[in-house]
Amino acid sequence: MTEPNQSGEAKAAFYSKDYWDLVFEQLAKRKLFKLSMAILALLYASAIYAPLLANDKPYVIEGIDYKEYKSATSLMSATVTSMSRLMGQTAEEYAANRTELAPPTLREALQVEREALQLKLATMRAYLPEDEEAPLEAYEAEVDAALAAFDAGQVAAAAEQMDAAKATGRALKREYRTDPPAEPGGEPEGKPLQPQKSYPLFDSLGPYNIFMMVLWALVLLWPGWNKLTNQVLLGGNRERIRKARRKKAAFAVVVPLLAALGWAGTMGAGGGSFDVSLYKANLTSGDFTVVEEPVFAPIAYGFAESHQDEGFRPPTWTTESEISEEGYYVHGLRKPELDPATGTFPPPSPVEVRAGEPERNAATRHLAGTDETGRDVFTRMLWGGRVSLAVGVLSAFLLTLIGVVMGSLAGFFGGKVDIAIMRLIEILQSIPAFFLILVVMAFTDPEVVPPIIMIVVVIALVRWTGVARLVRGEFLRMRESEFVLAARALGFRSGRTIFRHVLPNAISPIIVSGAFSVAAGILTESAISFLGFGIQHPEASWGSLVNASQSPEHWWIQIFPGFVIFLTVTCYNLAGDALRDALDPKLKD
Amino acid sequence: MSDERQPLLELTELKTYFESDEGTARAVDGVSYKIMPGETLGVVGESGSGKSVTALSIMQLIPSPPGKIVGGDVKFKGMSLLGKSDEEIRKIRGNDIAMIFQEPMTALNPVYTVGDQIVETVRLHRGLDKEAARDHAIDMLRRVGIPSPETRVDEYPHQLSGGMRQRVMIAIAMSCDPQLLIADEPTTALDVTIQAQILDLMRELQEQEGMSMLLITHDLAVVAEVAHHVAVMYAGRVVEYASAVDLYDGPAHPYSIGLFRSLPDLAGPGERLVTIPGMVPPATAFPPGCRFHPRCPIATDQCKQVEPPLVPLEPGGERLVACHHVEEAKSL
Repeated sequence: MTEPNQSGEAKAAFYSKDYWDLVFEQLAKRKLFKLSMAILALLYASAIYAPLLANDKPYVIEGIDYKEYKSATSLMSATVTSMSRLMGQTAEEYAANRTELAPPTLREALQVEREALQLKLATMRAYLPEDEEAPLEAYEAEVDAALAAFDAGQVAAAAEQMDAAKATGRALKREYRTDPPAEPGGEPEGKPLQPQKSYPLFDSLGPYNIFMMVLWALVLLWPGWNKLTNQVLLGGNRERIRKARRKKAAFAVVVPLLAALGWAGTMGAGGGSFDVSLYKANLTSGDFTVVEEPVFAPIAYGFAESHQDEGFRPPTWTTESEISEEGYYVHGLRKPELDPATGTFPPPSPVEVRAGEPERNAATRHLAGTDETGRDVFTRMLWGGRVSLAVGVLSAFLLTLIGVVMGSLAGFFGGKVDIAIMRLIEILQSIPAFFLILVVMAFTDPEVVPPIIMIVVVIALVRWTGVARLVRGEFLRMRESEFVLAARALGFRSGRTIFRHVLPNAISPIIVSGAFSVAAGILTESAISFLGFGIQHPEASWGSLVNASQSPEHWWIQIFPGFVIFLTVTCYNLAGDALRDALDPKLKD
Repeated sequence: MSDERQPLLELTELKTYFESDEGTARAVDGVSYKIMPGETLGVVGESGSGKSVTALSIMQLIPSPPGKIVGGDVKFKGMSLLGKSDEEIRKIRGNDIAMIFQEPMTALNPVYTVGDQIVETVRLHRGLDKEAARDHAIDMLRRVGIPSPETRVDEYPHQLSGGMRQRVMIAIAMSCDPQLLIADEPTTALDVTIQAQILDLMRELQEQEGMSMLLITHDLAVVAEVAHHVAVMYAGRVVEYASAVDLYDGPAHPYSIGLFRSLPDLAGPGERLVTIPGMVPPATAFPPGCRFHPRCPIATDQCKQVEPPLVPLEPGGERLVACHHVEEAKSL
């Protein structure tokens, strides 16, 4: 014991595995469990990173949006005109004539117009060289002076100043007019503009997206950084590794949280004010002139982006999907036939290839085909996974929470509490759950409560009974056990006894039932959405995707989303089974 | 033992009943005994005689419903425990009165390390900080004779042997220096060599700390080893109370006599063991009169009708017996 080396060895020999060591050891032995977890991790990754993987907004784009500039120049003077019209009336007159959607007071209405003007001028300034900005600033100052006069009650003076400002505005509109080039790649007419660099895709991401993305990156890289910290920072000392577990978990939550906060501070709440369809259309038509080719996501489609000419197109890697230049299918059943009555072919549907998209017949154009309005099914599967997986996890979490609380109360206190809760459970269980959910969904206005939240809440409220019974059973079993009596004999409060002594002992069945609940939640959501009561178009979930067609002719619609539902549910069930075995308290050392 | 000293614990006519479908079970029905500071009282009796329920009544851990303390009093240091609020009782439990249980396998929480379980107790009652509590836990483990307590403190109950676990239980119970330790069959689940070690340990600790102990057992040998006084319980009542020496010299109550005669005599030649015929009556249907009379060889009509009071064997003596026929019993 005197030599440090020796005592170190003695410690290592004495190192004892705790419960979680044993559980992880058991799980590591199960190949099927590891496979399911890997598949699930990838499915979640595809859902979390869907905005980066499939998006119609480019990552980076540098160029001039002539349409945007043009609309800014024409609307600039229009806002001033409407401001002067507003100043023509008194506050009372305004209040009397106001439409429902208009701002409540004259003052606020002026303020709204003032802000609109500012936005337009900002857009113009962005495209103009710096030495061209002075007239615009002077114009803004002119309008502000008129506003100040109006506020001070000098209505006549304000009107005069406004008329002057309107004249300036008209002059500016003429002077700063720029027309897009007549043909793509041509020279624009009018004021020369400077290209702007923007990041539309990143602008659309909110702090929540960033949190999940960073968190999931840490989860996926867990084996790497876990090993690294264990070896380098903790020196391979198992005692210290065990004690660092909580710190690691905290790290994995705090880092994404900081990233999300930083994002909120610099990039804002996300969403983006972008009209994407216009954007891509402008790019394709040449109204948007780029300096460099924009960088698009690997799959350059939005989840709600339609391709009207490509409705129900089979996956593009199949031969039946091939379309000739005229816009006719070349092979198989979809090959057009001569109409004997008119002697003509049906009208062709030429494929419109937009900016960033693969060629007409490229195998990667629509990996999983398209739906009725030509939306890319693969893209919708990626985005739909966000809904389906979130519903699964959130509903399982919520129902487990309710079930644990109710089950603990019933099991620990017994007596009247137990009777009341058990009767409630029996009543709930005697109602066919799925139809109850359908009825509630059918009578909920999706405008008031988003369907995704409604589905989660309804599933949880209907399905918590199983967990509650389970937890109650565990409590009844443990209430009689000596360690609970011992805890009370040591003077611990009921709350402490429940949550620190009984509940941790019931955690294994709760975890296992949680895993199965996720699978059940995903299935339920799919079924509801398939029947059309759940997620509404254009939003997608795996269930609503299957609903896009019931015809076997459109096999890809059923097969691909159906397969991911099957895959996810199977993986969860396999994982649940493996967890049940591994979490068994009768584990052998 | 002089009578002027105040008893640490005093039970007077304690009654704990359980309501069941078969009627009221009078598990404890008028039990009186007292424990002096620094003294060990052994409570012996068959299963179902109300020993454990008495102990749980002292701690007020009777599952309620169906159990209820319906009469009598429990005084700890001269103050009644029965009128105290839950909060006050909680402060006494684990701190002034600690308890250890029969099954060391199940009385420790399987999901926490033994150190955590000691730490939690001392932090609750003593308000120590984490480091100090951990040091205290290691110290306690060392005192109950656990080798290399520095590493054992981070082990889980399933990694320890039965004897080790009982030592840990004792360490937890002793961690707040209680004045009274209630040990409910502490050695029953252990094998004989370990039993002796644990009893030695408990006696040692008791002598060091000067605490009192209430030792509940059905094992007369255990009582002989550690107890100063013994209360023999039968069917919810104390039938005999005596110093350990007196009782072993010559039990006075026919039931006590029966108990001693059913012990195997290892010194003598092999003989058939004498048993007490019959069984302890169910607590819902105690016979009238002396509760032992259906099994008593010297029972008379008086025994069937009149319940014998617990009275001194000799006037003014501290040995108490509840029997109408003490003289006849001597000839048994």
